[in-house]
Amino acid sequence: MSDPPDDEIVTPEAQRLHDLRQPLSAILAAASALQLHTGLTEEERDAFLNIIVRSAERLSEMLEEPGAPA
Amino acid sequence: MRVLIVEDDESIALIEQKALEIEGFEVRVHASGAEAVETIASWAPDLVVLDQRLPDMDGREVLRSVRLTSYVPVVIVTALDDEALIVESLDLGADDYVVKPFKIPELMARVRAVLRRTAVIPERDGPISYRDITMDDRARRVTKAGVELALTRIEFDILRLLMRRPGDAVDREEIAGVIWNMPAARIGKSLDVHMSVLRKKLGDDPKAPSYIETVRGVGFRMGES
Repeated sequence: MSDPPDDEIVTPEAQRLHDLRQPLSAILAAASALQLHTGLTEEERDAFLNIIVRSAERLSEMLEEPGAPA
Repeated sequence: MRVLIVEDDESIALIEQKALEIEGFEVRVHASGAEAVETIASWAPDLVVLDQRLPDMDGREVLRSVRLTSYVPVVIVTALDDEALIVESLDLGADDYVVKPFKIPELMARVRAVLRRTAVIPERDGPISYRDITMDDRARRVTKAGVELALTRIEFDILRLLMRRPGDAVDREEIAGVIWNMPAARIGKSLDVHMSVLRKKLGDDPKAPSYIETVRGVGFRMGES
């Protein structure tokens, strides 16, 4: 990730929310694409399902890290 | 039509790419801002979906570079739900934004809405005038009797829609769809409030507006056909 410009202060909490949103975004985008596009090929469906599983695992790991919300 | 996706998260980029391809777009993907700036110049996409944070550049830096040479519509995708950041991106020339996490139908709707807005008024069109009002699309500048008016983005877009269709009664549904991508019933009094401020800035008499006329039961009209 690029550093924010000097005049921008990103708090640790904002950074954490940003980091959590990445895998969550992939899950929501992939799931909603599967819902929307029933005509995806089997390969594309598998790729999207893999993204959902991988991203959910990543999210789960992040929530286990020290400092994660209880 | 061509869409460039600038996104360093491979998963999100892949999903956006497939969704856009299914809708018939020709898509290219870049993970870096520098590559994106080059491709915008050489490939001339019709729209750019730009992630706010990239490995090499901040999305705002990409926007600044792009806007030096191109009016290509840009939809910002941000994982920082920060109002100041979003406002700054819009002021730098972004056309719309989506906050992560988002659903694909929302992104697609915003892409379509931005393309509709920009398709109504091709950027190559020159300045247009009605009475003492002149609009320069490319510079996004409006003058009245030679004096520049300070219009917000929405005021400008509403005025542009009306000025590009001289004499047409443009209905509220169309304005709501083009400007807000929503049915008129969903925007409440927003259109009336913006119209009231816009008329004031144009120097229109609120009781008997003559620049922008109200077409009862339909919408608004400007100029003569």
